[in-house]
Amino acid sequence: MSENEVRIGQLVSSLQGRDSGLFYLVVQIENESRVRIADGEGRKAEKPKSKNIKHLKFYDIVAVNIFDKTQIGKRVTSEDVRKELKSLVCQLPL
Amino acid sequence: MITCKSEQEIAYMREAGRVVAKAHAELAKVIKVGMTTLELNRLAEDIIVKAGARPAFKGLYGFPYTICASVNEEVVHGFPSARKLENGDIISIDIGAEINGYFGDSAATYPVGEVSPEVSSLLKSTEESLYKGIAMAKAGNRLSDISHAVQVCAEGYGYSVVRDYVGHGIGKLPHEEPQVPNFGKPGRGIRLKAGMTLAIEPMINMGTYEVRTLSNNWTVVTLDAKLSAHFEHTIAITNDIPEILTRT
Repeated sequence: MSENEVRIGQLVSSLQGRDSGLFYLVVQIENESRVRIADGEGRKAEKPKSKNIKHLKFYDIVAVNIFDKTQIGKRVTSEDVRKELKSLVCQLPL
Repeated sequence: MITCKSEQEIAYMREAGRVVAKAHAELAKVIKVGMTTLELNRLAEDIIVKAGARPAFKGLYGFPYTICASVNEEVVHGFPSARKLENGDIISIDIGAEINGYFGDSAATYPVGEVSPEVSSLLKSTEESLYKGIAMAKAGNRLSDISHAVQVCAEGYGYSVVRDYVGHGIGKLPHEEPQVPNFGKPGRGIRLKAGMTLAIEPMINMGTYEVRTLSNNWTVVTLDAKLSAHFEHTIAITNDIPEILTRT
């Protein structure tokens, strides 16, 4: 997954580290190789985790509401991330 | 992605900033009792277009106007209308412009006629909190150092800080990463670097920090109907003091 394809609100899962297997949303794109992710619970939107994109699996599902909020100056909260994450994970094929 | 702008890009943003600043300066001269906010909208649009720029907010996510005109308890995204300004009102005007593909964004709250000392204090304190935030926008600092400085200043005067709306990165888009809250503990978030360009915009309330959105799905008002003030500048972080780009 190249940086160009990463989107705010995109569903990811961790491939490496203690959080391996856990789902998150991308809440910030730092640079070409790192993003900040949150799940709204263990990792709050206010204090997202910085992660190398090589250590993440990216899904072709995006929480558009999260991106839309950023475009009108509205703060993305942990509650937003929690709700959207729950909804997106349900969309994954079994 | 959070980008550091080149000298040329910052030059383009400086130009966009000057257009926005000029629009504010001209509006400030004419704001008076009896004026409508639609007239202010028209004037701002004329100034921006004559400068060879494009109004940045018009059509953005369907926003219908060139300026946001938020009166009294309206916090942000107020719609210009045939409403006539009255003595003692305050009006927060937010203006954005794009030129050469780069954006500038600035807001200020203006008194209409004579306002009480209490109201005057809200305006001055909000503006001060903006400059306290800008002062922390230095290479090497963390993003939340800005947020914390704004909060400490505003709450020190007894006001509250709107949490639901935030500042933002800006450059080739009107809203870029990162989000810049106006509250929070210091020492958190990304490390600031020279070339980053941010729009820092405290929204400060006389009463509760809580807000709600009106049925037009845009205009945000204070939950307790008390007054709110808003000041904003677009800045470039440098290796020295930050440069305010939305100045004439």
